[in-house]
Amino acid sequence: MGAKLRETRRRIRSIQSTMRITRAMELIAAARIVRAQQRVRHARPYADLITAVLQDLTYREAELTHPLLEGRPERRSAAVFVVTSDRGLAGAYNANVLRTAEELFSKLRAEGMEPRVYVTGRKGVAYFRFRDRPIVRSWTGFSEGPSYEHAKELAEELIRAFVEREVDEIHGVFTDYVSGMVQRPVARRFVPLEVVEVEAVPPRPVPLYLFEPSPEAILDALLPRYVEERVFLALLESAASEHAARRRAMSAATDNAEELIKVFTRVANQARQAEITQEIMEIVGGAEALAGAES
Amino acid sequence: MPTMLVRVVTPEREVWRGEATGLVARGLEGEVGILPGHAPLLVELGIGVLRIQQGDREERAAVHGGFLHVVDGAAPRVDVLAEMAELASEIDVERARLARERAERRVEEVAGTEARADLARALTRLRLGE
Repeated sequence: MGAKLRETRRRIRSIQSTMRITRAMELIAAARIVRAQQRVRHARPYADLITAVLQDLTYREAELTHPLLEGRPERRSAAVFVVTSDRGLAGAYNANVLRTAEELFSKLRAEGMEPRVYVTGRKGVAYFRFRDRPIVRSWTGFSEGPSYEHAKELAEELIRAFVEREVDEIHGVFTDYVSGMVQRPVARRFVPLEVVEVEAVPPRPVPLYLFEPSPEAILDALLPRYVEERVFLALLESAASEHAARRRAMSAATDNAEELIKVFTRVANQARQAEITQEIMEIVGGAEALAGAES
Repeated sequence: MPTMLVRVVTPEREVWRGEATGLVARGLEGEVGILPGHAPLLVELGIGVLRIQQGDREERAAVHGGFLHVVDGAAPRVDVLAEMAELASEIDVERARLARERAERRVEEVAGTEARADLARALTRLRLGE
């Protein structure tokens, strides 16, 4: 067998084994999207209800104040937590989040605030390390399946930084899972809080409302829970998006591999035919030479 | 018998939902009993047992902190927003027992509030699970 044919067949085999891997990763990611979406759905009731409680509380007790609800007159620095993935092979997933984060950094700087970076996910950590940019804190190891405990740890650290005036605002950059095909990187402000409306509160006489212990004490306990919940949802949405991005990237890789195999099979066939033609010509040439010598 | 919609939710899932004739929860300042038609109320919960009455049946759950929200109006309901909650049937008694031992040791050694909270959680689970 000729060198060219051997070489081409070797490449086909190599592409085939890569394709087996990308196809397996595609299937795994597809299964995980379903699970990740389910977790977002399971988290929704709590998110809606805690928002309703907070709305009720701030609506009925309009004079209530809390540092997490109010902006500071002088804002010098802002915490930005960036949600990236631990593993690669997820297409432009991390690049998109990081680009959105950079845009937010520029915006904050233009407003006179110094961004302080908090990162989850190994890819994000590597990005900032490589560029020698400071990271205040990082968390890794749970990008594909975050639990509430992780969100709580993150939120506690961010709230602590805010309360101790290391930062004057808290922002988050993560990926919103819109659908299987569309995931949108978003930057949102978490603190000072804007309570997301679930439904318009109708103007009605405020009934007698009982609080135990006091409205202030409840707000104190409630607001950190609310921030934790927002962070948790951001992590869950990002996890679903990561799996979706990986599934798409791996599906494209599998398609490419199929295409390459087609091309190389053609090249191999050509090489094989050329070899056969060559051999026939050699035989015919040899036979004629012998016939010429005998006569 | 009048009933009210009760939902017990945690950040990770909805633990229970159904119609109930009454419920008793452990608030930070003591037990709180709710019957259908209760005035709007917002209570911060401690670590303890939540009892949901359905006629003569009773569903019990271990609830670790959170809030109880009574909503009035057209669709009165009671929301229990817990940081952690498990129905009695879901509790892993063996694990809770180990957690109790661990927490008891820690309470003796450091006497911190976190260790005490761990102990309270374990004891609540055991009260329900055993």
